Amino acid sequence: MKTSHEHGRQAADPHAPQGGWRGWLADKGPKLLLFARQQTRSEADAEDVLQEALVKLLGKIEAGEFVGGEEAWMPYLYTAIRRLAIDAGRRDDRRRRREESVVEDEALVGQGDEHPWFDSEGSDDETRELLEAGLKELPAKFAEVIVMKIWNDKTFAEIGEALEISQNTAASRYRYGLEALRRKLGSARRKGDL
Amino acid sequence: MDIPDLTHMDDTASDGALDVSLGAIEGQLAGLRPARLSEGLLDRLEAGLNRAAVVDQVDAPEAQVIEFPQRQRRAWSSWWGAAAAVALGGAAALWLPQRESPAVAATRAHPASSAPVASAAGKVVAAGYGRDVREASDEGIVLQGQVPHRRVRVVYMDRVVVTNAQGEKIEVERPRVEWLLIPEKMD
Repeated sequence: MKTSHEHGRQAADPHAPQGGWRGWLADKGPKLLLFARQQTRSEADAEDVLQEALVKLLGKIEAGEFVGGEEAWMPYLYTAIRRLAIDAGRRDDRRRRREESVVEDEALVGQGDEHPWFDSEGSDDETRELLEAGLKELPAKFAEVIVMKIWNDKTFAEIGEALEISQNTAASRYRYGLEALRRKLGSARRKGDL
Repeated sequence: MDIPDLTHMDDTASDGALDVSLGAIEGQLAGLRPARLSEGLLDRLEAGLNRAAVVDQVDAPEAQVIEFPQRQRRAWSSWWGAAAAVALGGAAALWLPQRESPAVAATRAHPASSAPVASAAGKVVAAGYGRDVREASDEGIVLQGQVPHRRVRVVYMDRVVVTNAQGEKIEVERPRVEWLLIPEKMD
């Protein structure tokens, strides 16, 4: 009799992408994690949400409920990450209301600084840090459009669909977000930070 | 990377294409590469996908995941959930017959003639939940908003008991840690 582990290994293969899950994760994971980081309040939440979204995707594929092929995975994952992040945020809010002070949470919030959103290769560290800080400070509704547009190659129509806003709203938010980042860079230049 | 001086440029973005200065910012952003996943996270995600497949593919016809009554939101929370599900699924697999065994095939072929058995086959039913305090330790005084609090670390053990189709009980335990802050009196 095969063990359940052996069954799992065999069962994962038919649904895994070419090159296996690890290769697919190494390729797509950075973009998905960036989006999850932007959507959540801590690194731990971002990783949890990403994992939950992946498991949901696999569950749907294996149940035969997923509509579309591998090309439809990413749009599904963005939507799933966003919804799971909203749920995680609500759980956080309820928890915070129940507990007046949570030392552990404060420690977790601080962890974000230890996990840069971008690799330092190919860009100078000051610029990267400034842009990353600016992106984190942007209102989420602007930042999420920027993240989806620039690092996930989505059209405004696709972004609008994923975020349940109009295409024009997506485009406006993108522009406002970029303008805010430009002001931040300009301000840094005036102060001599750059 | 050389940062162009953007401060003197036109602030107005047209409705159409982005103006030059916004295009420059866009270019700088596009030059940043999202951070690669750490090996640890890659391991975790890959294992999570494989474990999800294990739960789905366990020979039990209706393998079920029993949720703990209160989900944890920590980084390891979904991990423990997945681990519990795998343990549960794996345990269920041990009790259930092989997929192609004659008994199961007969049940599937003639569900009406063996309705009571068929309806119960593979069912895992929650039989009880429990929570024990395993350990509590005083970690001393901490300042929280300038008010001294005593911090107490409490380790709970959440427990779910399920009954499978054969009436056998399966117990799954999950540890959970909470820190309690108790305002401390000051003289």
